[in-house]
Amino acid sequence: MNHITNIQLFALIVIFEVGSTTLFALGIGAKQNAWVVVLCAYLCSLLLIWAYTQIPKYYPHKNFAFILDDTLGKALAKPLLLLFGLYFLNQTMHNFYEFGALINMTALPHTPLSFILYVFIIVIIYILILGIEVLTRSIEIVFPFFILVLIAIYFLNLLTGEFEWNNLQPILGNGITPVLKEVPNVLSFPFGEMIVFLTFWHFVKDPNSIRRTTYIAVSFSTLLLLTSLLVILAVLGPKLASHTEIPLLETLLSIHIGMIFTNLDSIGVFIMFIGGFFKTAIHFYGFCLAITWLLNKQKPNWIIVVAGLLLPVLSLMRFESLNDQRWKGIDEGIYNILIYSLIPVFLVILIAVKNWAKRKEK
Amino acid sequence: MILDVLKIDPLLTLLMIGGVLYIFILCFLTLFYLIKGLFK
Repeated sequence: MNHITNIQLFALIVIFEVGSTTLFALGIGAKQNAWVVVLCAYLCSLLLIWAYTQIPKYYPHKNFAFILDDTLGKALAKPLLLLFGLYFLNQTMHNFYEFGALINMTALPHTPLSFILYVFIIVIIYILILGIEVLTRSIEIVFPFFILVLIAIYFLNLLTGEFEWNNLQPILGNGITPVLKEVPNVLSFPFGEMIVFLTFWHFVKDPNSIRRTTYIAVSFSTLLLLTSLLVILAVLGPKLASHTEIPLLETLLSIHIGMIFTNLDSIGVFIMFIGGFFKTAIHFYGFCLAITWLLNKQKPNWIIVVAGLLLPVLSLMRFESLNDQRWKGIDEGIYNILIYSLIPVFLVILIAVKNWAKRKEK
Repeated sequence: MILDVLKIDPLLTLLMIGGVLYIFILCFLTLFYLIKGLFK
């Protein structure tokens, strides 16, 4: 049976949240107050997560397609399921291309990007065909390593002479407005992206513990994101952090301790790739599940293989370069994530009102 | 601007239009059930 335990759900959420955010300095538009932006977005995300975790409370152990059918009726539910599927595909393509390009740029500059993408997707196809349990167990195995290396990177950065607390000051020097302007962006990415878990809730063994586990996991991820941002800002300064393509990689290059801890960029890229790999796999599985339900199939295996083999071609056709991908994904596509992260909130309100109307009718 | 991306990315355009449309549909349905519940 395909089941997810609480610890697996925790690891899944943390890796998903931290995943591709290691590539960005979140909320850097607010300069040295970027960490305040993350904190504010986290507080707002608590409401979003409440809505996301309220759905399995209304429909325990029911899949997302059933919930949509029951709430909206088949005629309205099917197009919405297709839209969600396409949204997950859109996110898959972004993460997939981004991390393929990262490996191409840093570790394998002479290897064609298409080859990297195909190797990347073949491993994802293999894991996903074996089922959600294999995906979650592999995350469970790499999770301690992922977290330990991330924390070690932050700690080693503290020991380098480059770490300047002054780079973080003045706090709210330009008032709260630049911070508030950035909050919707960070609320969408990475917190709003949690919407993909709506397709996974029915796998969780104990539906009553979903909300508690999710809150703990998101809080822990926020702590990691905040630490990461503080380190990036303190080492690089707000100006350099906003202009660097991969800020965390830049901070790693500044670590030189006793000629032993040096050139840590390859380890950093490996850790970033683990996060990106699982984030891509989770989004892709969400897409495959949505299409499986849409076609009334029992297993997503064929969809995983066909869509997986097409994914590198589609990604290469859609994005010309990493800058093009970022422009379409983060600079402008962020509104798209915001729209889709808000739909479940409206859905929860609708379910509540519908239940209330039904009770009154009786 | 967002319109520049929408012009060259059909998938994003479809997602944006579909998403906004569904938010309106969900609001309309909520209002419908609210009125239905109030007048029962």
